[in-house]
Amino acid sequence: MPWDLIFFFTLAAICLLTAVLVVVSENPVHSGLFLVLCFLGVAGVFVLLGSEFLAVLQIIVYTGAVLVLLLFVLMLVDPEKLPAFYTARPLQRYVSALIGVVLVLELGAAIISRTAIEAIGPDTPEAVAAVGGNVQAIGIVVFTDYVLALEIASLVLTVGVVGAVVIGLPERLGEKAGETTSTISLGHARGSDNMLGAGPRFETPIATSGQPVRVAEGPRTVVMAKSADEYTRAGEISR
Amino acid sequence: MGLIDDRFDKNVFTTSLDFLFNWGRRSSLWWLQFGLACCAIEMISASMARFDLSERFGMLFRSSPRQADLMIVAGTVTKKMGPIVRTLYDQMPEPKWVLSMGSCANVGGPYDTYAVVQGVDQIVPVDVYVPGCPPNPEALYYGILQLQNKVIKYETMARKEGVDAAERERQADREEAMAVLRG
Amino acid sequence: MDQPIWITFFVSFIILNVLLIGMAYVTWFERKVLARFQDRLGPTRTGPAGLLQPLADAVKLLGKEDLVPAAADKWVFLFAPVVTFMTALIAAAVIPFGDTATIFGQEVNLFPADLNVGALFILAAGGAGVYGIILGGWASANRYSLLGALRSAAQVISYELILGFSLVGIFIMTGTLSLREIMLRQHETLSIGPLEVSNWFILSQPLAFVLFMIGAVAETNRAPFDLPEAESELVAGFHTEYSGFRFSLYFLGEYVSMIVVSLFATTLFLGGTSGPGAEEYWGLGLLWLLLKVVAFLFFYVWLRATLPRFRFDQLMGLAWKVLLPLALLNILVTAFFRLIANGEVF
Repeated sequence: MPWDLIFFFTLAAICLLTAVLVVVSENPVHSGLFLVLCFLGVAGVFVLLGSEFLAVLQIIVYTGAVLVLLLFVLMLVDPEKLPAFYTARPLQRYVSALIGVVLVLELGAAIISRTAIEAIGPDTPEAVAAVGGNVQAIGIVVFTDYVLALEIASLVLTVGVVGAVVIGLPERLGEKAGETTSTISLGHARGSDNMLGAGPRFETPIATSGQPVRVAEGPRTVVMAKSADEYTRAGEISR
Repeated sequence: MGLIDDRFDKNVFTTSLDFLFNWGRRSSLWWLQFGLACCAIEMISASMARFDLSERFGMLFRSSPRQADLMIVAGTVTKKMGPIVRTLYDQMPEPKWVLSMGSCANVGGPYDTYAVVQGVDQIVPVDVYVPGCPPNPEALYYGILQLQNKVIKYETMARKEGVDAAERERQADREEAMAVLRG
Repeated sequence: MDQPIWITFFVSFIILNVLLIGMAYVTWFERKVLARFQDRLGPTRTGPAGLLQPLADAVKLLGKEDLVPAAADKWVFLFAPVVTFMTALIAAAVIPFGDTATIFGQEVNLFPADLNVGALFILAAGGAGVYGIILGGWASANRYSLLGALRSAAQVISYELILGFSLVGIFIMTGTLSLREIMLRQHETLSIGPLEVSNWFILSQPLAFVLFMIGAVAETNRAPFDLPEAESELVAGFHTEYSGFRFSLYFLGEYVSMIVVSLFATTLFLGGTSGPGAEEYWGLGLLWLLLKVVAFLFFYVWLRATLPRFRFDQLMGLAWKVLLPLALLNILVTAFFRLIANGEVF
């Protein structure tokens, strides 16, 4: 058996195994980890096909993406409250299984039809070598044939970035002043949290927890913190 | 410990391996950055430019007990601080050493009161005591050199035995105290 | 160019070992230089001038107890340091240590692999290396570790962008991503009037060089960007719970990536092995490379001795509000000049 095939089957086995493990892992972080391994396997297959550029892009883009995914998992998912794997909604399960089967059939049909008509795409190894390598070949294709698609994709991404900036803006630009929460720790002198705006403008009155207090700039909720834990919980509730 | 007791006689191989490891341990005693009172100021000054205790002997301070080999108890150990000292000691991986710095850590010093532990050796096993109130940097690194002489004679098996014995005794003491408390 | 595979293996073996020993002595170098910066002596007692210090540290760390916290995710905890260490080493595979040389009558390539996307490969390895940090921090089940890991993830994602964008100028100028070709391009000489200078890209891309160095320091988690392991806030950051040899894997990974980034910067901006006499004798070229790398490592230590640590919002603000626009500007200007040189404008 030629070495190419041995490498290919090893990588394919890794991909399939890790892809299955992504779905069946109980722990969402483990799922993310297996997803990375799966992508690395796909990158290996790209290398076997002689397109190192795609392989490296696969690693850079997808490992970065999965990293962000992992961050979301770490920050937003409470591992205690996850539903057990097999108690997922039945409709979801059947529909996703159906979609998977359709996808496999589609891929199989594509491969079989290609081999049946023995058609070879325009980007043969010779054609790629003629333009100076796979980096150049991909560049030429993307910036000539698919330039419109590329521009649309970049526009969509720009909209996403702008949206993220708008959502993440501080409140003074989001026009929601008056809803800010100020906190008083018992460890500090009264109002010393607002050292930056020290002066008569920033006198924060003491009140009991959760009760809105009227100050010069409008109502703000004052949270009394007795210990670090209580402070954290009160902060969450008032938000 | 019964299984491997006396199974291995000391021979050229084990002793020279022990020597290599002990040489490494002696030459890179990373200490836990942990100051309790005024002695800590002397400890800091010992590691600064004039004395350079830390780097010259290959020492390095680590903030995490997991990466430290040496705990320098520098200062008064109050009874409130006692459990924390013990926790930090327990968090350090074997092999580990403790150097008690200053009279307060040695015997309680001037504070013969209800709030102060009369000697840190009531909490953790101490290898070297450095007297003084506070000891000056020269005294501290004399203590460190004495500790290095002790480290080079370290024996893994004997140490394990000692640790186990100490732990048994501690548990016995604890149970006795609990029995008294229960009445 | 084509050579039997055993020669490639042999070259890789030598490079790997030189890297591992070099990394041990970078720790010694750092301690010595940092000590001199702070008017101290540094290690003096362990061997002559403290030269055996890295060996002593390694032996001691080998003999330490290997603790796994009870609450930790055991396998991820054990696996994570290896990821950081391996990805740092793998990145060295595409660094050219010269062109071809004739050793004992045999043509030998002085680079383990001439990948046609070498520069991107190093960036990819750096991006994968952060997994070791975030997984280790998460698996430790320790608040400080997790905070360090999250900081590291945000920092690396931001600064990888800067690192990548700062290189685009060079890619536009050379039209290749292969590090060997980029290095060979810099062996040419450039005549500016009567002056004959080497075509080092630090001369034509000075802004990119500054951006690259800032990004590289942040990417390797070194001071002043060492927020993931800021010991004054986070105990020891993401490796708080690691002891013994697993801790040293993180430690070594950091130093290997310092060396690799220095090699990378030398290859991209300082002409790699180029220097007087390097064309005739490949050994001299290696010496020049070594000198440049040591200069970069000294720069790293110098930064650590001089600058205080950034605050996290300053770190992010610097990346997104200052460095990124500058990098984009650099790309724009370089592309414009390339078009002029091609005669496609005016």
